[in-house]
Amino acid sequence: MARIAASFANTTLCFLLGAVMLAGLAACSSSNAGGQQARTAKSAANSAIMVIDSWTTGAVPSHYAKATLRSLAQTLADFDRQQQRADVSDSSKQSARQLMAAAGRAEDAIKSGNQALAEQARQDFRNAIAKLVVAKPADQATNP
Amino acid sequence: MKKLLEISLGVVTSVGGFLEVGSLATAAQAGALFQFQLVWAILLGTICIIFLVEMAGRFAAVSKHTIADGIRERFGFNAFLWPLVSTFLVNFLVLSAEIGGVCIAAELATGIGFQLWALPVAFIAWLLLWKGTFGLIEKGVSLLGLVTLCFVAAAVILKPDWTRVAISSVPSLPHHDTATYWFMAVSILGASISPYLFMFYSAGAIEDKWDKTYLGTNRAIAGLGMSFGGSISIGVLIVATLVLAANGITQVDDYHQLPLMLTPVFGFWGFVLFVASLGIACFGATVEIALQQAYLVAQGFGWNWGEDRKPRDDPGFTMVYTVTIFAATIPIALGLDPLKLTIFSMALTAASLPLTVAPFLFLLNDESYMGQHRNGVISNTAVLFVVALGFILAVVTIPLQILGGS
Repeated sequence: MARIAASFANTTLCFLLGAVMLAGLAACSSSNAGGQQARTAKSAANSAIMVIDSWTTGAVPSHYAKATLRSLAQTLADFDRQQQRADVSDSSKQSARQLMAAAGRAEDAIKSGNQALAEQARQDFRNAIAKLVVAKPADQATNP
Repeated sequence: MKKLLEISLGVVTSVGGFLEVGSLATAAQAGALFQFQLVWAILLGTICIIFLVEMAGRFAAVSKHTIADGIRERFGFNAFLWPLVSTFLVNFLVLSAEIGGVCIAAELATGIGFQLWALPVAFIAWLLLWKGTFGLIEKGVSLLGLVTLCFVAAAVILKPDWTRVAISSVPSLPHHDTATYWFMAVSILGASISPYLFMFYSAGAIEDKWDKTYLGTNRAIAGLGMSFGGSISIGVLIVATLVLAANGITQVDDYHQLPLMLTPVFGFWGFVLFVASLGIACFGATVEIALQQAYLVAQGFGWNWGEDRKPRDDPGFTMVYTVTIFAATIPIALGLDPLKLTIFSMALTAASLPLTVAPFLFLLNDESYMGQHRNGVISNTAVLFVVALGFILAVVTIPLQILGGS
């Protein structure tokens, strides 16, 4: 019985060790498809809009809003870098740039406590997201 | 009356102690990306953990052995070494993720970076283990954990389409992101069927000196406590669907996004409730997992163990939780993203299940341990199902982590 149990345990542990190694390798690699990048950026932009909304209504503290927008701005900056390098339409590149600029504006608005600037940043985000959605089918048409 | 009070307290502590960083993060990610579609994974995980917890409690109450103790005694130390090593390693990662969860809560509350909170959090948890009693840890922290019921309240306030929620309790194929869908399902199962949960429960039954008169209490706590606990995870998924997904947030890659779940429902109090829920739930899990690591090693090597003993009476036991808890802070103090660590460790937990669950089949059917309280057909079917599920998870976790892991 003990031998069977040990053999069973051995097999399972091999699976586990394999899983650890491969999962570690997978975690290190970052193969991100274009559609996935755009979706991550759109999700980050929508998160930024929610943060601005919550901050303007006093539902979240300023330190949280600042830190969150800084982190989301990082995601959007990565997206912008990838878009500028990628073979995509100019409108896609432009909307990525606009998202990054909106994130910077939103961060400034929170830092200075300027609600009007925050409202403008929110509008910029909405415009850029709309362009990002519109840009996607055109990209697919030009780059099948 | 006394039994009823014990059952109530047991159920309440199970509910309060159910949610932790893994179930919170996986349910939030699943709700944001797949809406209600993964409710079935939480339900399946909850049903599995109900059976395992009931069996772990019954085994302890009847045989006066913990599960770890039973595995070592029944199969010998060499065979026990494998589940010991794998469970210890997986628990270590989960412990690190839980410490990360408390640190995120502290960062959200104060604005001071989460890395800087790793050591203070570990110290407070260690102090509680050093000075506290099992009752204080089991009941005190878990009762505070009832704050996590705010997710259920938020889900009800948001008025979901309950028919859609009910339909989602049956597994269905995804319409997009197939690999991510299955990876999320595996992670949810890993978060729900955590070996530390049922192993800690069996050690707790010994600490609380359970005997055969507690079998009814055990069944009630396992059934009601875990069911209500699972409903909190479903609450998180519903809130993530109706708040995050509804606002176009489909990717929860950043822990900063999580508090946004409750602010549209409760305003500023939503932020406070989220921080409190995350902090308390993860702190409770931190203390329990550190304690479980000590139980596991002490029981495996036959040392003295018991949270109610003085540290000088069980030095090995005390040393294990001390070293583990401080070592687990290293990844967080070095700045490893707690959310990524959480998802990774939940998938590995799922992959390690066969090693910890398969012995149930032997232990719970062994007359010398269980006498007339051996497993029936239903319990054995449940164990076989979890073992089979564990094997499938162990095999699929690797490709899914590569294809669908974030």
